[in-house]
Parts: sequence; structure tokens; C-alpha cells
Amino acid sequence: MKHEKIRCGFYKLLSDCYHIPDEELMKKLAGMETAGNMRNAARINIESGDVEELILDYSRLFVGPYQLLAPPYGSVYMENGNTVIGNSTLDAVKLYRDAGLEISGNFKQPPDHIAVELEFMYYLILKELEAVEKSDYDTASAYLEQQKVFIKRHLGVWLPEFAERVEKEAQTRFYRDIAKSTKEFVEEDIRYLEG
Amino acid sequence: MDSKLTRRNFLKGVGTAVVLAGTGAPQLKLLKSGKAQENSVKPIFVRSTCSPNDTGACGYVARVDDGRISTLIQAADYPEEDYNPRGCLKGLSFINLIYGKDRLKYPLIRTGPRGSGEFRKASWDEALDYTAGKLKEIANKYGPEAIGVTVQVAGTGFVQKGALVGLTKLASWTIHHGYDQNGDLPMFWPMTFGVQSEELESLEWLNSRYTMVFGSNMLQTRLPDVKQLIKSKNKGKLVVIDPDYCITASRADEWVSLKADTDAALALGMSKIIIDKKLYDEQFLQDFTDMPILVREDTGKRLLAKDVKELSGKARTMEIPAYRELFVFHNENKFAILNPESLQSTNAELKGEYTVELTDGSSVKVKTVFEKLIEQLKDYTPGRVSAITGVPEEQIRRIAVEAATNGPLHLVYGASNYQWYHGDLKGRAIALIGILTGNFGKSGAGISTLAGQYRIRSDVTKWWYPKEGKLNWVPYLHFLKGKGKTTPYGKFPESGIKAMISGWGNPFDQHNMANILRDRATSGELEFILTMDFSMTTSAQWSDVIFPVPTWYEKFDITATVLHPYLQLQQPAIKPLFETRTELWIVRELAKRLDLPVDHFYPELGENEAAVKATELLLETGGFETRNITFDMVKKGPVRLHSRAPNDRQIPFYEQIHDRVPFPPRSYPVPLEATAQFLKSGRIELYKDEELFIEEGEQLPVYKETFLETEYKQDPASREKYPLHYITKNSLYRVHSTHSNNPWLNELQGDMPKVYLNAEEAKLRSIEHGDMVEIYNNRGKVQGQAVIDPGSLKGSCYFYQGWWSRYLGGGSYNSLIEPWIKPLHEIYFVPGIWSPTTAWNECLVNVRKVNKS
Repeated sequence: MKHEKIRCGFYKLLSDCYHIPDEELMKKLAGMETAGNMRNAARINIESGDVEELILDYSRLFVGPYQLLAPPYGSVYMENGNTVIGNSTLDAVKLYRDAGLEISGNFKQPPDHIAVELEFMYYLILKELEAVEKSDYDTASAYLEQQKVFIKRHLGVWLPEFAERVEKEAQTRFYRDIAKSTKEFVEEDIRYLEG
Repeated sequence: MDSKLTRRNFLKGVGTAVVLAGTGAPQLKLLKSGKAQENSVKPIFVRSTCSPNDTGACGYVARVDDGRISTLIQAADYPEEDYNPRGCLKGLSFINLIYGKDRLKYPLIRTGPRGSGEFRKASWDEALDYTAGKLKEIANKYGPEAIGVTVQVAGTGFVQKGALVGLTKLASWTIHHGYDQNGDLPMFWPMTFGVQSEELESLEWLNSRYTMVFGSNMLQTRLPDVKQLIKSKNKGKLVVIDPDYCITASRADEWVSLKADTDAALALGMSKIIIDKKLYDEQFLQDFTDMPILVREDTGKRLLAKDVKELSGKARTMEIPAYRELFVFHNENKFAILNPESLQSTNAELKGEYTVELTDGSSVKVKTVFEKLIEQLKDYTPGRVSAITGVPEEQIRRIAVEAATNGPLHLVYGASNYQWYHGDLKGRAIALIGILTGNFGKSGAGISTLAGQYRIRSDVTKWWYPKEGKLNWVPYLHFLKGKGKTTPYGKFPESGIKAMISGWGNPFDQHNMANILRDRATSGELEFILTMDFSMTTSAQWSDVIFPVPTWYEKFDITATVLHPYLQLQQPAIKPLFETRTELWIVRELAKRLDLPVDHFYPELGENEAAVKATELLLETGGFETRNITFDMVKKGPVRLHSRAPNDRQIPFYEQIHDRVPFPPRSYPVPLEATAQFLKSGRIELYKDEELFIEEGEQLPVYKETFLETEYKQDPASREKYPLHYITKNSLYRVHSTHSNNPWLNELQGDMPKVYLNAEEAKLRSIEHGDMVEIYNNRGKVQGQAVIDPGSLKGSCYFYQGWWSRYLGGGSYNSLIEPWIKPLHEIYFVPGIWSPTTAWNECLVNVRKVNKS
């Protein structure tokens, strides 16, 4: 259970980290008790007094110039034509829908955005935990199964290449560390889910 | 290095955060609970119109699965079977651009130096506020006319583009017409026929018995319609006149290979033969042209009735519109006034020299225009023409007779031919073949200039021109030159243009002549650059603010083209992707922030509803051409515009010839007076007598040698330094610069820009097939891979325009080209009709081998 809670929280945290950075995120990271690098990175930026630098790096990596240095969408890595919103995206949407979810109306990015996929994992684990608390083990294992399917068909497939690009292209330590953390965490989680 | 993460301590720390998340309800930001839907959502099919800046306007049906366009299918729903199907690989693979990695997703504000491509994401409010602030600042400092707006090719979307024109008028900004900016303007049309341009719809090509294509690579650039050209060979002959053995030349019944830019000499030579052999249509020349008009030998001007003693009294009593003039002709041994408001038969004498007494008692010698023409053509013997053009005498004689005796004759005058300094002279000379043989106003006969999807087909003024404000028209070339005269339509801003707003175009590749745009962007002379687009083009990259917009599968608009006369809708198959918003919405939001009236833009309606409303307005107020056409009809499928010809066919000047209505027909959106002033006789005018025409010796079409008034004059050493003509062609794989980033199409080109060279020219420079070469002159340079092409003419080098700078190592192919202005193009100014036009081909270069980069 504890491990599930950690997984759950970490997916949520990582998802937050792939939103455009703001003071709130910095505070949240700084407030954590860990000595982890992410917190350090965040603190550095807080001490520097603004999140502008992170916003710039975020824009360069994920928003544009004309060619994103690290497009944060699954289809770019999973489709031949380097396109956004490919068949793989529709498959992700299908899996969200299977879990009773749809993309929130004010989210204007491709549905296979890294933040969504991480959030989806968070949601599945959360539901798993809820079921466990109610001793509904059938439902819990169904949610666990959905995690396995999703990570195998989506997140786990493209994350390594995406993370490598971020690590290579990021100008701030913050995003290098986030990418590294995400990659290592997801890799570990795949092993966990398969084990 | 302390960045090594140990997952153990990381996870340990996060564990505390987890508790928070685990206790409450799911705090989902991006996902929300949906209904447990069935996953097999049925596909929907929506018809729209492929609307890049070509002349295709092909109907497509988008198949939408689960909110995503999965396939684009040719609609093939035109009532006339010969128009079905239409749509090429570019249109079919447009899906790669809709969902391409370059798709602009949210407003962007520049953070790095100009052109660096460094931007940050902004909210719409922020981007709009920022833009409005900048525009206000510039307008306050330099006046509103320092803000210059380019609106490209209206025909691809009258609603959204009209919205930007409307804003420009409300704000009293400067506007540049896309038509002369693109070099799409064949100046012989206003000079000779008083219109912007004309053409036969492609179904009419089938009714021609003799088709002459002067420098138009239709097999490459008119893909959906070229089947009609090929079919026309079943009943007629196709002759292609082109220096280059292009794909169109290869499909011709006869290829006439001539030296570049010598078409005027060829056409005048043919005309001489037609006249000498008396193969001309006498009645046509008498009734519909200025050939019988008398010209004074002393001044070179046309004789005015008010100056003739025996006619002046009558002339004073005749009431004519201000844009007309009373000229004189001769018949039955007397002089007579030519009524410019009537094309009834006059039996005017075509040939003749006379002496006429003027009101001041003096006498002058006069001659008919036709007589002057015959005199002028004395210089264009087959021998001399052959020497100029390189076309054998026998071939000149034969095709001249064939063209004159095998009507209906269709002359296609391509942009590659008229985009020269003396392109107008070539057009006037080629038009002469059609004029002499009376090939106008009937099925299968006429001249077609097919460049651009430009010509406005119906009255758009109600939507385009809100009551308030004023449009300040400035030709684009004046903007580049940094100076220009005041005209009835506008004045050149004292400070020059300080802000550039563009949509539906990519000027930083396509209009960066002599590198002027980039230089001004870099120096800061341009203080603000705004681009609206769906892709991260080179121009977007050079902008300060980028507004992302939907494609033609994500919004409403109405389109029309020159190649088929169907009005068609663009319709949203999917919602605007990401954070894109329509131009109409953007305009409305900017208007609010600029404290301009917004009622014109239907502020009470959503952006789609407003676009529908504007479409309805355009149809209701479009005049004769759109009468009884409703939105519901267009919603069901393509609807043919009305014309004056039977069955609403698009046949140029049908009404003028058939119903004897004086020239010119109206060119939208300007009123008739604006263009009728070019044809004061109310007839087709071959003879021009405005002062500058006389000074230049261009009263009648004449052949003038290339580069004498341009490259050689600017730099005499260019003859030796830059011995090659630089011809930038249109690619099969792009629509100008649209699709430059389409991976499928780029694969077909080996993902590499090419430079086409004649084998001898290559050998001279030790260039082999596949070498990287650089085309250069003192203005700019561009690189590509050499193709040794036996079809390319010696003395030339060909480059397919449209590659975005990023594929050229930062190069810019139009930086080599000077923005020449022929002074004759400035004696009148009617935006996009009589205006200085771009001469892309008037350019000399050299080529050298470079190391592979």
C-alpha cells in the first residue's frame, strides 16, 4: 500500500512538473522534505527570484520555436510521419475513455501529452487505492491491469526517447533532473508492474 | 556531480506529498470524468475546400474518426462530370500539415533575437493585449499608415481575409495588395482590356481548336485541370512555347523552343504574318478594337474629336462619362466620332492616312492605329524574329497560319512569362494574336492568365469595407523600396512602414527581395511583426507575435477560383485544434483592444456563426454573379457563379462581343470608373498614348531586350559576372511555400532543394550531378544540389521556389532578386490592377560548387 501511495503521488507530482512552471509548483517542490535533486533545482530557481528562466526553457523544449526540441506528445515518437494526433493518440483516448475519463474541455493540447499520460497513471493508481480501501480487490486489480496496459502501449514506449531529448536539450538543471527522474521512475515502475 | 538521483531518497520524500493526494477526490487537471461511452464512435464526413494559394480549389471530404481527421477524400461532387474528380497529392497529404509537428498551437511572443525562433507561449489575452499595445504605440508615434497589412489571394477565403481588410480599414492602416506583391499581375490586361485579368474556365479549354501555351507549366502547376488541356488535343492542337523542355512541353503536339524573354518578338512576328496573309478578322478589329482610331503624326497621341474642326461642335454636345474620350475614325470619305459607349458597327476604315484640319486652323497628318501597327511590324520579319528568338523561320510562319486558321484559339500566358520587367510588352504582343484573329467572347476562345487564385468574382464591398475608416493602399514594391508617390488610393507613410501584419502568406521567404525584409527586421526598422498562420513558417519565425489559426478543415469560409466557377465552402470537420482561433475572431478581439467599432464583425455571435453570417452577407450583396445563391445551397455542395455567357460559362468578354457592351467589364471590388479610365475608347486598346508610353516608344507592343534597363543598367559588369538567368519555378510538390514541410512530399524530392543546370553550363563550372552548388549574385545566395538537366536551356539556372529557409541552411532564394519597378506601371494606380508588379525572373546570377554542408 505504501508503495502504491508513493507511486500515486509521484505520478501526480511529475504530471504537475510538465505544466508551464509557476511559483506554486516551486513552492510545492521546495516544501517537500526530501533531499532529492528536484527540490534542490526548484529551490535554486526560487532563490533566483523568478520562474522566468524555467518558463523560457519550458517554451523552448515543449512549446516552440518552430521545431520543438522535445515534443511532449506520444504520437511524435510513435508514428512514422512525426505527426501529432496520430492513431496512437486515438488509442490513448480510448484507454482514457475505458476508464471513464475524457479530456477536460479547456485543455487544448494533444491528448497524449506527457502531463496527461502521467496524470492518467496517477488516476488509475488512485482508483486502485480507493478500491483496496474498500476491500474491493476485483476492482483494484482491474485498475492495476489498466496501468499495465497503458504503460506498455503508451507511456513506457515513448518516454525514454522523450526524456533523452529533454536531458540533451534542456538549458536548466531543473528540466534535466525532471526528465531523468521521470525516466528512471517510469522504468522502475514498468519493472514493478511486470514483476 | 550531485545530480545523480537516488530513487530511494527521492521517493521517500515524495511519500509525504502522496498522503495529500490520496485523501481527497482525484485532483485531475487535464482529465475529467466522462460518460462511459461506446468506443466505436461512428465516423462523420464533412465537405470542405482545399484552399492553399493555388488555383485548384478542390472539394475534399474529411473523414473524421473520434474527433480526428483520418482521411481526406476527393469530393468529386461537381455537377459537371468533367470536373470530377479534382485534388492532388498535396491536398491528399494536407493531413500531414494539420497534424504536423510545425502546427502552431498557441499564441507565441518572441523572446530571442528576431529570426532566432525563440518564443514563449502566451495566453490569447496576453498576446492580443501586447499586440494591441504595440500597434497603438506605433500608430501614435508615426500615424496609423505606418502599419502595413498584406492580405494574400482573396479567392481562397473571402470571409476571414475580408475580416482583416475590414480591420485595416477601421484602423486606417496601410494595405498592400497581394496580387502585385506576388507578381501575379499581368499588366497587359489593364493596359489592353481594362481588366485585372481574365481566363477561360477549364471546361472551356475543351472547346478550343488551337491552344498556345506561352510559358505556363500547367502539367505541374494546374494539376486538377490539366486533364482538360490534354483532352483538348483530341479535337485540337496544343503548342507549347517555352525555353525549357518542361513537362508541359513534353505533352504538347508541338514544342516551340525559344530564347528566354523573347516571346514578344515571336508574337509580333506571327502577327505580321497574319496581317500580311490577310488572315485577320476585319469586322472584329473595326467593331471591338481601337484599330480604326486615328493617331496624330505630330504628337503620337490619338486624335480627339474636340480638336477637329468639323467635329468639335458635335463633340461638345455628346455626353459621355468622365472616364471616356471621343476619338476620331474615318469612313466613307469623312471623319467621324467614335462613340465610346457603343460597339455598334461603324464600317470604320482600318487602313488609311489623312490630313485633318484642327479647330485652331492648322492641319495635321493622321493614321489609323492599324496602319501604325503595320508600320511597326515591318521590323518583325520572320528572319529577324528567328534571329532574336532562335525559332526557325519555317516554324514561325507555320504556327502563325495555324493559329489564325484553326479557331477557336486559346492563348495561355503564364506567370513565368510575364514576371519580367517587360512582361507587359510580351502580354500585349501575345494578345495581339488573339485580337487580330477575333478570338474573344466565344466558347473556347480567349486568353487565360492562371496565376494565383486572385480574381474576386463578385461584389465583396459590404463585408470588406465597413463604413468607418480608410484603407491606405501602398504597392508592396513601394514598401520594399521605402518610397512611393501619393495616389488617389493612398499615400506612402512619411516614416515608412514600421509594423508588418501578414496572414495567409510567408513573406520572409516569398517576398524577401534583395533580403530587404530580413535586413529591416534585424535592424529594427520594422518595429513590430505579426503573423497569423497554422504552421511555423519562416515568416512566423521572424515575427514578434504569432497568432495560431485553424486550417480550412476547422473553420467556415467561402472560396472561388479562376479554373472552375464554383463557389464552395470551407467547413469545420473538426474543432479548431489546440488553442487556434479564426482570423475573424482575432480581428474582432484586436478591434476591441484598439478601441475600434466592432459591430461590423457580429460581436454577438460565436466565431463560426459570425463567419456563416458574413458568408450570407457576401452572397446577398454579391451582385449579378451571386444572385439567388443562398448559404443553404452552398452548404449542400458547389454552386456555379452566374456569368453573362450561356449556361453561366466563364468566357472572357462574352457580353462585350455578343451583346456589344463597351469594354471593360467591371473588375471587383473597384467600381467600373476605376478601370474604365484605362480604355477611354471603350474598346480593346492596342495603342497607348499616355506620355510615358510615347517616351518609352511603347505605344504599340514592341520587343525589348532583357536586362538593358535593369541588371545591365544597375551594374554593367553583371554581363560577365552573372551570366545566367535565374528562373524560380513553381514546384510540383508545393503550393508556393505551403507543404515545404510536408514529409511525404519532401521524400519525393530526396529531401533536398535542387538547382537545375544545362550540361554545358555545369561542365564549364566543373559541376557534376549531385554536387552541392550555390547560386549567387551581389544581392544574395542560395544553395541546392545540382541536377544536370538536358531540358534546361543554356544560359539559365532553375530553382524551385518555396523551400522554407530552414531547408536552405538559412538561405533565401528571393534575396537574389531586385524589386524592379517599371515606371509605366505607376502612371495609374488601382490596387492590384494597375500597379507595379514583381518581376521575379528579371535576375542574373552565377553558380559555383560548394562543399557539402
